[in-house]
Amino acid sequence: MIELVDVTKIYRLGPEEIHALHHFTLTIAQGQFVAVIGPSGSGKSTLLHLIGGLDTPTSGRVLVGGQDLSRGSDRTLAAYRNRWVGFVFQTFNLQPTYTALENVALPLVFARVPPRERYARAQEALATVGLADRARHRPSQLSGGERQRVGIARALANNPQLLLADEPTGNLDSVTGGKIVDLLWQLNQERGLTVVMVTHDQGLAQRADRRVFLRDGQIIGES
Amino acid sequence: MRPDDYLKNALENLWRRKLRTFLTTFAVIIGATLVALMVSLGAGAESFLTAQLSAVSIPDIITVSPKSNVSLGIVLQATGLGATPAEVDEKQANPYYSLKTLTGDDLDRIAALPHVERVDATPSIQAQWVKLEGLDKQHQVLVLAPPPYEGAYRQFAAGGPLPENAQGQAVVAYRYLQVWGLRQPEEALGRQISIRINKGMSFNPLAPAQVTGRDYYFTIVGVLAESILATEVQVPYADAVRMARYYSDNSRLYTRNNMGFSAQVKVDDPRYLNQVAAEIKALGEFSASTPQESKGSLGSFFAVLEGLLSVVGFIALGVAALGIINTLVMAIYERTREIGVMKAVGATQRSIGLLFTVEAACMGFLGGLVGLVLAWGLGQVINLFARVTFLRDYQSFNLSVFPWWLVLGVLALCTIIAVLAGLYPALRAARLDPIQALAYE
Repeated sequence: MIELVDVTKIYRLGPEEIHALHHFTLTIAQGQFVAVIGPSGSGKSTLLHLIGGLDTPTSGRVLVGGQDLSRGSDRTLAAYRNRWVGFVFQTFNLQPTYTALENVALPLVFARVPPRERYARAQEALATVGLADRARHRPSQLSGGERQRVGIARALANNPQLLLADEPTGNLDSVTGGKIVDLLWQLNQERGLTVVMVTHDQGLAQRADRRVFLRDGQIIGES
Repeated sequence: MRPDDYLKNALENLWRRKLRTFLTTFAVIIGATLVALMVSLGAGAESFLTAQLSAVSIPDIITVSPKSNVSLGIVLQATGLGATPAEVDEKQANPYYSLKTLTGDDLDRIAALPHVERVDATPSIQAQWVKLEGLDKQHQVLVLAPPPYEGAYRQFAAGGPLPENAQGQAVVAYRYLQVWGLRQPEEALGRQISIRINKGMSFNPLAPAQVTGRDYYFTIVGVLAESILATEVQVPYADAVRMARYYSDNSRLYTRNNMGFSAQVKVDDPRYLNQVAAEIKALGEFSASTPQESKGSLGSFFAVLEGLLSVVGFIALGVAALGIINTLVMAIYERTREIGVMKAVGATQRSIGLLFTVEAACMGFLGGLVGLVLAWGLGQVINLFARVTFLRDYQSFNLSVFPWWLVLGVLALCTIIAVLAGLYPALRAARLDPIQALAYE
């Protein structure tokens, strides 16, 4: 379902070139739970950004569900992100002035879903992550784990095919982090969602079907 | 995004930072208040003058006068200012320019045009004062000699118009009742007035007694309804001619060779008014104006006046635009990560840009709305003050008016200025890189 074919991504910082990914090739089947592991600067986040349509490769092709994201227009990539992808961030990235319900409903705003249906679906997503009774709470009134679950609910709101989690447990304690990864695993098993999770934590990575190890923009191993 | 979501988002963001929103829109409010108030005063004065002039003007007449060669350049030359000394023609009354008068032939040519019912010379009379018999006080006066048909178009408080071929009779303006101490307009009927005409003008301040004058007597047969022409006294044409000849010491005035500087043309059908006016102008020697053209000139004058009065308001709106730019650019810095999240969940560059544009538009619209309300309130205060002071004689007149076009115009102006100010911040927000925005701290 996800194919990266000979992808290179180069960032320019002034006169310096940084090769975030170097002739990178990877295939992820639909419904797989893949953990991407590597040190800082190995290209993990870049990989996620390319799969998520937040960035385009310098060369090579990125194909997701048959769609070529390599040269997509802003409108095409935005539509892809809205309908196909759910992002889960390390720092949760919730709007502090919105309630949990409003945060979860955000993708549905850009999907032009009418308000009543929007909030009904957002409520369902919150129920999925076990936070139906927290709908009217603001992020400041939620624990770290609860905030991340709201983040996951937001990622699920528009029924994506793909969940991309960038260090989802990075700001959580180990117990809470474990629960979050359990939730991702549960969504993968019950809904058949393809999950790509970037993590430093090898212990949490064991929950995944497959582990891909990166270093210096290249795959150095899998398990 | 749905249109209502743009609006909801914009209003929520403005409400979230109430103080900053207020401070930013304050300049818009000031600008809108000034523009709205100044234009309202101009509109009020224009509507008053237009209504008053409509009450006294005749709809199907054309005012005709000869074309003259007077220009600013010639006037300056007459004062001695110019590149070279100008040649002088001794035969002309004024060596530098000629003021043509209408002749009997001119009036005949105009009368021969299709759809012209009649042409009447309108004598110009320079009167010193008018006095009611039995009173010592003299009052200023504007003596007119309108053609007899005008009587049918005017409203009268008492009596009626001058009869055809009248002599020694007059119709006076309503306002004279007040200065003559008459309570009812009927009290003026049958009373006698005298109008003083001085022969020529005296420029010698040391010898005022050398000015000779003559009094002309009239019996009042009508009192006009209240109008802007507060000093109007209408007299018959024959009497007006005698008075004009005395003033100019010229017995040939208003004969076929010299019918004065102005005439009034009545058309047989108002539908042909503009056509006849064009044909008169096409004769090449006359200028002709219709009531609509005069109204249009008045409108243009007030448009310019309102524009000039509103300059300060426009400057305030320009300053407000800078404030809006600053506020929105600051908002981008504060909401950088939020913009990144929105892009991550599917917002296009266009959506992000529109979010900020709508926010700017809301600031402009709200500022314009509050400014209008303030201007309206100030306008009512001005109206109240005017009614008890310098406009107490015109109780129905509102100095400040707010027609629908003023309300919509001010709202549109403020909104458009705000939208234009918001374009740069909107573009900047739209082009934010989502990855950098998500990583922004």
